[in-house]
Amino acid sequence: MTSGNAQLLRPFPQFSNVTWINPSIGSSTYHGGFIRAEKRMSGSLSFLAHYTFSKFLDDVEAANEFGSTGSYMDAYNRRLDKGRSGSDVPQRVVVTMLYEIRKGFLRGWKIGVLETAESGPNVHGDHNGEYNQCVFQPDPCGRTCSTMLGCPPITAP
Amino acid sequence: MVTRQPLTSAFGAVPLGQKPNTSVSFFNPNQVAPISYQYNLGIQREVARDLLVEVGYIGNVSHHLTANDLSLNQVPPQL
Repeated sequence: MTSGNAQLLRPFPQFSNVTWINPSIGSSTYHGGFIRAEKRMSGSLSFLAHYTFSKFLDDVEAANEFGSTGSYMDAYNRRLDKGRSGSDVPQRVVVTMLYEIRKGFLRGWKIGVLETAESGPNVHGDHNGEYNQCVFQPDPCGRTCSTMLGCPPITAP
Repeated sequence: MVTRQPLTSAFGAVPLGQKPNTSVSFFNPNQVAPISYQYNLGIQREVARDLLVEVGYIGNVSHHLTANDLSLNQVPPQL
């Protein structure tokens, strides 16, 4: 940070904060492969097994995402926000069994059993407090971004 | 007929003689709508009697997703 009035270093020095509400600048990709097997027995029994492996990347955070911070790592470097989505489920297995009742008063009814196993949500670490302070506010101690990243959080004097 | 209410301080207008509001927010009037593309490919075979096996791929790409409010007027980090 150079010395002088920090207000004059802003892109629009006549304003303090300028906020762009809900900018449409997010992107995401999903790639998934799956294998499915279905077996029908000679009777009234059938099986279905499904396995999915996938990768879900994005650079925005949905409100329901686990560990969401609701801000940007660095508004000037959007690539820093790219990573596994909070909705990413890398692996998922679903196995089902279906049995059809053909006799008695329950004739025509089917009984199903379904079992699901899937990867848990990812947790991402960040150093939001320090980094935001670096990017979004002039450092009162005169440190630059590159030195601040390795520094402890700024505490009030 | 459209009638317009007078622009009072309730809408953020600054009364004459007072300092202007320097902290502003805006919504892009030409907001780009989010868009997503889905595509998939699958192959299935009956590998044995009454046994079906399917292998497939599913893809999705999305652009212009609605993101968090962006603060535009921050001091660039290199300064």
